[in-house]
Amino acid sequence: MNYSDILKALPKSVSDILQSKLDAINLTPDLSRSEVEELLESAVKLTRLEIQIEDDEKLRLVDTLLTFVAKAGANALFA
Amino acid sequence: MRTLLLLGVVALAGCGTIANTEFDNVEAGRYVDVAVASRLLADECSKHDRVFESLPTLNYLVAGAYKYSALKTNNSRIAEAGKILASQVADLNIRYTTGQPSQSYCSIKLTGIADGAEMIARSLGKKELESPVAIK
Repeated sequence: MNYSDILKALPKSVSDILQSKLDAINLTPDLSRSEVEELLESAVKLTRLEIQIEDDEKLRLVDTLLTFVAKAGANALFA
Repeated sequence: MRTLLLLGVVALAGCGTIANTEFDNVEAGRYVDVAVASRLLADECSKHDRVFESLPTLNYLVAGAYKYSALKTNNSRIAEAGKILASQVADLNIRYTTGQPSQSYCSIKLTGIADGAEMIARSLGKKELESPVAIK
C-alpha cells in the first residue's frame, strides 16, 4: 500500500488531522531525510493523541449526561 | 423529540450542573505551561544555543505533566497523551545533544508539541456543554 492509498483509506476526520501536520513537513525543503522520517512519525503520534483526546471528550460528555438522566427524568415525569 | 428531551433536562437540572466534575485545574495548568513554553521556544529556533539551554526546562515541564496524569486513577487516555508529548520532547533532546538540527525541524517539532499540549489542556478545561442540542 502506498502513501496516498493509506491516506485515502483513513476516515476523513483522521486524514484531515494528519494532513494538516504533513503539510508543514511537505512544504519545508531544508529538512534532512532523518528529520523528515522523525517528523512523519511525530505527525502520526500527534494525530493519535488528538483522536484519543477527542474520544475522551465524547466519553466524558456522555458520562456527564447519563449522570443527570435519572434525576432529571424523574423530575420531568413528576413535574 | 430528543432535542426537546435534552432541553428539558437542561431546564430542570440547570446549566451550571452540567459542568465537568472531573475537571482538574492543576492538570490543565501543567499542560498549558508545556504549550506556552514550547510556543515561545519555537520563536527562538534560529538561535541553536538558546533552544539547547531551554530544553531541560521543557523536559521538566512535560515530565511533570505526564507524571501528574499518570498518577491519577481512571485517567489512562490523558496519561497516554501525556506520554506521547513527553516522547516528542525526548526526540528533540536527542537531536540537540547529538548534533545541530535544522531550524525548520525545531519549529515543526515545537509547534507540534505546543499544539498537542493545548489540545490536552482544552479537553481538560472543557467545563460545560456549549450546545446540548448539538450532541448526537
